[in-house]
Amino acid sequence: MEIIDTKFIKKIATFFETSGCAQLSDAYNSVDEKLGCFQIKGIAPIDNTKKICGPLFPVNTDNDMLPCLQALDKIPEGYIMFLNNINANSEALAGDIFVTDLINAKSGGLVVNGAIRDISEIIKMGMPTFTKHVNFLSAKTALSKVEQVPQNIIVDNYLIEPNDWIFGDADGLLIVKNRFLNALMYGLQVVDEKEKALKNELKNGKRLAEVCGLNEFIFGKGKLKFEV
Amino acid sequence: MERDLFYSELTKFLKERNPEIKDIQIEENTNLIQEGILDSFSVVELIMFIEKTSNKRLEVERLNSKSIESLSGIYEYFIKNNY
Repeated sequence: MEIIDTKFIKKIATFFETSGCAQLSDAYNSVDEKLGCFQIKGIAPIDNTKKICGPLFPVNTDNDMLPCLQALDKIPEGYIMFLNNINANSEALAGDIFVTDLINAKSGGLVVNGAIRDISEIIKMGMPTFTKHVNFLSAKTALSKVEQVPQNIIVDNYLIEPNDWIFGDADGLLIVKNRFLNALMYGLQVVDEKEKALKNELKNGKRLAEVCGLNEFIFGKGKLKFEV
Repeated sequence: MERDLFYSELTKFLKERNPEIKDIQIEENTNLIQEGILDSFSVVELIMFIEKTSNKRLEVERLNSKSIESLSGIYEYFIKNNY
């Protein structure tokens, strides 16, 4: 796997910092999912103020800590760890100790399709963390190691590969194929600029219907100037 | 790629993806965003078209929405010297 440069990761993070998944969604809205963007539902942040952004370092596990520890040992700086528990009854795959070492590795965050624990401690640590479930019962470490980390995973029938990008905030999680990233960043900037222009007009006292050209649209005399 | 050929291919691309603008005359300095020819939803597809045409991935370091405002801007910024 080619390791993505940390400077580039930080650059993308600065674009995302001033916007969010809603704006990214608007930017990719018309693009077919097969091209490389899709939403992962049901995994939420433990702290709604935290955003997550970076290339992915995914690994599968079956309620076993060993693949998680293997991934923890190898994750590059700035990458987001994605633990995918293929067992539907997930025990906690990460807690405060795991996250402490994830911080030591300078990871950009943790996403778990499964369960974690020690939520209050992890929130205090400040590491962006998204999870589907919470469970105080820790997964055990068996001798079922994986042959390689990172590895492809499948979540909600979507294939997620190492170096795919993930963007997340309180609105949800979005996966973006690496080849598609730069185009999406351009689209994001245009969406941001249009939203700023719209918000400025509203702050200056104009009503939304006027700014959008709602009446013209209803009577078939024009297009909506903004999709909101 | 020659400028006129690029303009022709880009205009064809824009009109194919948005039939509502099929009768609009797109000049080289027409503001694509202000005229509603290019909405924010289609910018991503435009960038992918440019990447395919120039056979290069656009660098985010050069990210600048002004560069995609017109046919001439796109040509000058992304195609002319193939940066």
